[in-house]
Amino acid sequence: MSPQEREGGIRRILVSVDASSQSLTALRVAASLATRLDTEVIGIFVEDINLLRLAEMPFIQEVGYFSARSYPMSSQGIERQLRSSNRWLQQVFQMLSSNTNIRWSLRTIRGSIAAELLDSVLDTDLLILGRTGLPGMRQVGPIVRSLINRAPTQSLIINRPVRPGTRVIILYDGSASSQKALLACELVIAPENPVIVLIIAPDFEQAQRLQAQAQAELVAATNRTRYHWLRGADAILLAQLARREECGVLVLPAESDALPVDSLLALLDRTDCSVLLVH
Amino acid sequence: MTIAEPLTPEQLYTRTNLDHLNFETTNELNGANVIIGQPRALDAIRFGVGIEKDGYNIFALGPEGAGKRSLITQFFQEKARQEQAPPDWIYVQNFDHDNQPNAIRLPSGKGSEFQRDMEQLVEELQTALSAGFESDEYRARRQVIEEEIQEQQEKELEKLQERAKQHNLALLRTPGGLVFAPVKDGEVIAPEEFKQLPEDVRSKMEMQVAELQELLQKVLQKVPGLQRQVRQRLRELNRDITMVAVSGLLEELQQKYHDIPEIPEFLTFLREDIVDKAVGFISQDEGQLNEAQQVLAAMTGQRRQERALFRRYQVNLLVDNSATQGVPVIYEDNPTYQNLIGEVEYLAQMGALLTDFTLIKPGSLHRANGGYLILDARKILQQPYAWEALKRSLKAKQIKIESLGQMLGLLSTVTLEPEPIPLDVKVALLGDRWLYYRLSEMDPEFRELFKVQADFEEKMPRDGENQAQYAEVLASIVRRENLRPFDRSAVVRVIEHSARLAGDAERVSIEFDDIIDLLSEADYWAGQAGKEVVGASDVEQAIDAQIHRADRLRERFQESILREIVFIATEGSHVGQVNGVSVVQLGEFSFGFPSRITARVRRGKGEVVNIEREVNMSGPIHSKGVLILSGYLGEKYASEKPLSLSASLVFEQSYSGVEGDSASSAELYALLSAIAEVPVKQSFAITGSVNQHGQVQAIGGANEKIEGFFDICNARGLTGNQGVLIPAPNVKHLMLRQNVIEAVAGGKFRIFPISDIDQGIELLTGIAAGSLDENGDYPADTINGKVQSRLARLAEEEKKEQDNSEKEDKVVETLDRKEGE
Repeated sequence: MSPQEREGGIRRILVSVDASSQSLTALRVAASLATRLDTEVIGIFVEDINLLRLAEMPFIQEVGYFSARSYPMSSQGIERQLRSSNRWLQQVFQMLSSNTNIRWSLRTIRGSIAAELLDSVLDTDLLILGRTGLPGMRQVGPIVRSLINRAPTQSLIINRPVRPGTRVIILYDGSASSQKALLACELVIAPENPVIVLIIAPDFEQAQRLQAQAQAELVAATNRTRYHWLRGADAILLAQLARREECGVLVLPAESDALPVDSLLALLDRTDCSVLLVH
Repeated sequence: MTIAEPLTPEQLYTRTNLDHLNFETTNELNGANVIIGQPRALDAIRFGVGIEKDGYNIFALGPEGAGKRSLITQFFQEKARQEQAPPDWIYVQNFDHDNQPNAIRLPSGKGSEFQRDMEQLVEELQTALSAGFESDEYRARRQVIEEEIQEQQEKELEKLQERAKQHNLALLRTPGGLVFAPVKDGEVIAPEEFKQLPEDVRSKMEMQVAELQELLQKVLQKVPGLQRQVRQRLRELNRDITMVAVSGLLEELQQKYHDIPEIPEFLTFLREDIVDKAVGFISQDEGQLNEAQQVLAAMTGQRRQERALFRRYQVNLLVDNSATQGVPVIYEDNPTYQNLIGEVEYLAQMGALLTDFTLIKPGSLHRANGGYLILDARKILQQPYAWEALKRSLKAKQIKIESLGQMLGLLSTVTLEPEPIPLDVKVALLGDRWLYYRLSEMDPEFRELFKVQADFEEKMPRDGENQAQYAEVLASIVRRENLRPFDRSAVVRVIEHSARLAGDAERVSIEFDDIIDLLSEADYWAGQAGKEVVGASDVEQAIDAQIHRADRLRERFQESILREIVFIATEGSHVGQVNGVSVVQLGEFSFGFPSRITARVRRGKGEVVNIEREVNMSGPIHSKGVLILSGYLGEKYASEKPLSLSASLVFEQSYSGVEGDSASSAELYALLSAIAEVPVKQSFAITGSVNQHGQVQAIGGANEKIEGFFDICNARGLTGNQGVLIPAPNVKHLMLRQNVIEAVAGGKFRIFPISDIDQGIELLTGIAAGSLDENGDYPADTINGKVQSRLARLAEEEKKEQDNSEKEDKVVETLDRKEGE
């Protein structure tokens, strides 16, 4: 039984899009995955209500990250910007529809991004979104933070393209969520990628046991899988490890005692890998 | 005056006597590669090779095939063997000025060694640098730098975030930057709700937003500075790592080449360059590049740049003398500008022409530097700018490669200006005499640069010793060319043919190209006949075949005479008509044929009209010959009286120009016959030039002319009365064909050596020429008497007519005067 069959498969992928380069990367990953898994891709463009609100408060000025100059914000300007982004996304999706065999659709909703994504993700199997934080800061933005806590399904947070050969690190502590992570890894991340399984176990015996479990799940990937044993999942340590191993994607259980939410957030803040968060 | 006697068969062909040289075939001869007949040229070359002063280059002048090249090469090679091999030359990158590559001189053989060392260095560099940049140490230090700067920036932003939080404000991202906004439950507060806040709260919030915005601007203004700082520190880190990786490798080379000062200096610059460009060595994994970087890499050809970077550290081994024994002796067969001074080649990349120092190609001046260069003068003069380039290089004593396209403004791309290389070469130019004297006259620099003239002879005396040496040379050629051995008779025949080629029975030709051809062809015919040794008959066959291949035109000429399309009489007598003989040169082949020359006279002002000249078909020498005839007639027959004669002379049925004075005696005979009204025997043909005193002078091509008339007579049937009158000085040139000699021996054909005109006219008319008596008159029944008498009659008639004319003029004058009165 393939992981897809065991999990009931991924039939619909939700991709959060806007006009940013990160969301384009997310869209590309979704396209690749949809082709491989023959799934439908639904794009969602949320016209951020917060932006419109900001524009109605004249004392607020936008400070350019590159120029460090302040510019007044106006409702008309924001509306125009949203229209332009929406038009551009329509074109991108039309192009994807005509050039691929994938079923594509684009929804445009106005509201709070996090809330709308959480609403929309309910009837899909995988959420893919670009990692957007504050420029100049490594910490993840509020949208990702709220998804970590509340997303009902697995989320792939894209920071860089996922290519064949990209090294994948999976955190496995034996929890249900981490078992799903093993399956998701093979399903979502290209099956030919080298894999490192970080076994989180307080002692050697348990580590061996967990490794045996993981090996059983990853039979197909035996030849390209390595195992490391860690006594605990410290966020700083994990981030360093990921960097040293030139990891491209981290597959993390969202509900794990070994990696509580705070540690998870700290890890996300510190790593520059893409992250597949499995609930 | 003596009566002319016909020549004996022995006088017509001088046999070769090799009695003192004992051999059966050339295998028994020493066959040493001796140089014969060129003592003057040898002395000149010896001097030219020996003298080591500026401008003492050699110009070997002489005809093609005189052995100029082989002799010069032989001398140069002998001298070259005694000398030390010259240095190698390399071009390397000039790290200060990319387009001005540096030339470095290394001891012979060191160039290729250094090139190999540098190739190895580049390979090792890649490994060493990759190891350095992939090391944990480098990664850790890089992370520290990036982390430190990142932390600084984050700390500032975090401070602002904290401060904003205290006032219920949040730092948010917008499409174009960052904003501070009042928030509630993580979302921006609705504007309506904000308006409902108390005035003072709103004002305070607005003030705080404004203040935070200002601070944010300050923080962000620092970002470019921080990024610059990161880049600077990373550059320093890269330099450190590179320096460590490179220094060890370079120090080894610096030690090895410490005795060539330019090399350690070059390596020092190279180290700096590697350190500066270290980033280029770090092969980035394309998988790790983001999209934009990948596109950029594809567009800018990052891989190509990487390769180009390594090319900078290569060595262009321009001149490699590692395998040279002594100094080089180079013959440049195609002395174009580029082949001579070298060139900078280009590579087309994406529609642009690119070049670098590795594309500098040497010319023959580079290869011959320190040694000798042999060039064909005519070839170099035919090549645009090559002659000027050679002179410029010799004068400046350096080779400067300049792009011809750039020089002429045909190429607008960037090119190189390689550092000039000092030049020390002895040049020998090979050319004919005309070219040498023309260059001496027209080019003031020529004499300054080619001070040694080595003048090559075409012929040498055919005495016993020389003939023996000649046989030795033939043996050496036979050996060198891998031919069958030649027997004694064949060698004799070749030497005799060589005399014929020289056009002189007392000389042999030393234009050996023709002789080598003859030997090879005789060898071929011997082979065809299944012989092991080449004999005289094979040589004869080779000569006959050569003539047969070339004599189509001769046959056509003879055919038109025999078919009486061209009128040539070989029997009977005619007044004012003689047979002259001309020679036609067709490449290497020449042949003679008779021409009818006629003269007509009447009373006139003492002029001889050359009809050829009147229609511009007479060359200057021919015209001169005809004008001499007037001098002769005046001096001999009319020294005291006016020459009241008008004569016309013409080469009948001549449709091309006439040049040379060899027919002037024949023209004079025709003229004398016409004046004296005495017929001339048509069984004779005449050749020879004449001076004003009636002496017959030597001409060229005597053999061909005799054979030309003989062939016509022979074809019509020899009568025994036929023959040719030749100048007596030409007897020593005779090397006639065998069938002519046999005819003479059989009394069927005669050849008369003539010293003066009286001797000739007696033979031609059968009447005595006559000598002056005490009254200054010739006897009336002699040719001269008849000429004198006719001229006197013409003078008398002329005088009478003049008197009558004067009387008529006086009558007219008297009548005019009367009429006036």
